[in-house]
Amino acid sequence: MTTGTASKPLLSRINFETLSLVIVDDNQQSLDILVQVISGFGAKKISRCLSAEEAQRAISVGDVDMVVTDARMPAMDGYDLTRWIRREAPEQNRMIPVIVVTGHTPRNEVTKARDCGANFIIAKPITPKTMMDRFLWVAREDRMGIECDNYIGPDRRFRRAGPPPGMEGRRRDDLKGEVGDAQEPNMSQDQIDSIMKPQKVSV
Amino acid sequence: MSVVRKFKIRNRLREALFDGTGKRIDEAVADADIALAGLAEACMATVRACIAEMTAGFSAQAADRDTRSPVELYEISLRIIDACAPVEPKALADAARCLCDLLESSMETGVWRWPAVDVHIDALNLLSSNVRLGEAGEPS
Repeated sequence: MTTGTASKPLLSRINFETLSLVIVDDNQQSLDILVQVISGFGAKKISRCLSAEEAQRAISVGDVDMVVTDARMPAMDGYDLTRWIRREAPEQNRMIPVIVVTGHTPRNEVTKARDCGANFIIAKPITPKTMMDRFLWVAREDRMGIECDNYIGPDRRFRRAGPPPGMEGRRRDDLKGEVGDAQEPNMSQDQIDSIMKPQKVSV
Repeated sequence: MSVVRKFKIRNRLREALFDGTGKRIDEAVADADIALAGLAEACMATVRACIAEMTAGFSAQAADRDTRSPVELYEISLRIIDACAPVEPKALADAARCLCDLLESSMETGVWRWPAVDVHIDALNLLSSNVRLGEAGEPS
């Protein structure tokens, strides 16, 4: 399993119970699949939405910690929903993690997901391991937010940043998870001063 | 020129998820696997229904397949991929995904490659006839 490395083993505890999640899919069975997986993780507060419009209402009324949405839906699709979240959702929910799930992932779909402001795109069929990997990745990463005329969302230029500490990469050429990990304990202020302070030297 | 603002995002998910309580990660994944397996039979029924619909409308035996839209077949393939989450063998989803790739190129070029479509539909029929359900379902 890739959900952890030596520094963040599978024995780490995660608490889904207090998370408020919005899950969106226009297909009832697909929605059930997503909800079953996330409930299995221990989530209790799940808003099940059969349309993007329902999700908009759920996101408008309270704090939400994450949205998982299907990409292809009639009327408003998952990409438009993500764009709406980034631009028009209540302030406290604008930069929440959004994961888009889709059955078919040609390059143009992946680019669309990236450019609408989604954090990740996951290919169906859903597996609990992949979902967990992506949840942990999003929870551990420190991507900056970017706002400009045509984009609001997490920084899209993160491919070369490597995975967050404690995670394995998604691609063969990703950097190792350990790269981002601290290799030794933090320095004390005295140690920092001893390095930073100008030293008296004899000429 | 567009002005770019860069800002730090507060990671509420991390704060809530790693409070030191809750399930172990491996337990959470195992519990989700079990929960998902509970949907295996219903999902397999959906997969079989989709393959039957596909075979009736688009296989070599279908009389009017030339008049139908590739989008229709693409949508059926996507429904199979959706429902495959708790279903074994995973090759079912792979075959449906390959069919999506093929149809996408057909839609771009406007040229149907019927022999290739037939191969995929035959493969899906073969794979679904020898299917294993997840842990919660009865093996066929």
